[in-house]
Amino acid sequence: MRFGRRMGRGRTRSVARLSSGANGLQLTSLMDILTTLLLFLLTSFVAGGESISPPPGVTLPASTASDAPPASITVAIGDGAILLGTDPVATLEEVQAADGPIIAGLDARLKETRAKQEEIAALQGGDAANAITTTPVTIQGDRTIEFKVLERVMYTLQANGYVDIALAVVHTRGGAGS
Amino acid sequence: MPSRRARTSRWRQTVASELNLLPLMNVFIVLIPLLLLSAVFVEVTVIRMDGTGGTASAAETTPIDLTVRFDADAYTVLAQGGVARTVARAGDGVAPDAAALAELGAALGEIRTAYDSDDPSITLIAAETTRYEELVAVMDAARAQGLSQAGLVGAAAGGF
Repeated sequence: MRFGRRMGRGRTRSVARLSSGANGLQLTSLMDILTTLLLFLLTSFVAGGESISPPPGVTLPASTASDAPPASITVAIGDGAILLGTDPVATLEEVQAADGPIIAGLDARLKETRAKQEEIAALQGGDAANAITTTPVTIQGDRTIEFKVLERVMYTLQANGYVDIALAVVHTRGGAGS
Repeated sequence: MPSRRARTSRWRQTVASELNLLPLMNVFIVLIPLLLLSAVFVEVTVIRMDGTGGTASAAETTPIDLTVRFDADAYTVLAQGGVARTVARAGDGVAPDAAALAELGAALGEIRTAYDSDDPSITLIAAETTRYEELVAVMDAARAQGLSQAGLVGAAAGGF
């Protein structure tokens, strides 16, 4: 009887100690980390706008340019190939070896894209030619590509009516040439 | 010695005063992976090649046809058709030289001041083997001097 009473008192004390938090998990530091992380992620979150991620093998050059990328057709140059959107349309060897300034594979795919855009513009009752010239094209070029390749890509785009061209770069804060 | 009732009421108060962090933790644990997946750590921007980069209006510009030609060992700066300045460069196939770019930027700024021009356009005449990152670096150097409308021209064929 005496023994049982002692056991009962001990259990009550340990329950009281646990519930008062003396042996409980200390969540304050974890909550601090989570709150800081949440605030950091919320500030870097891009709500709306176009977010560009270059394809694997393409390292964009760094620049101080700060214009936001437009919603556009993308042409990626690098890693031995030229991609329209995500589809490879030509290899860099073909482009280097070609005689003329037009890249045949890219030209063919751009003609298809243009035909679709014109069809959509006609269905919407808009000006088909204007729909093409006002469509921006973003070129995601690897930093090591030669101007010869870039020139031919730009020439092919302009030959198909895409004159609004933008060059994608990684934004850096700093002086000129950084 | 407090009575049994007093002890019980204090124990109840202790329990009631603790914050229940479980729902907050649940929200955080859902939000953080979601934001981590959608976060943009590398900010991609663009250089517009359609001539909309500048802010000066046509009425207040004084065109000087500022041009940078990429020669084998130098940047040749041309203004109104004549050679205005030459800045040594490392050549094609290597990463652009920061010192040469800084010198080129300063030269462009001086030429603009000398001609008292606020025309934001500049033309780059690049060789076939010029690296893309060097073109972008020269555009940056020019932009720092207020030359925000860059145009690219090929040395061999027609330009853009």
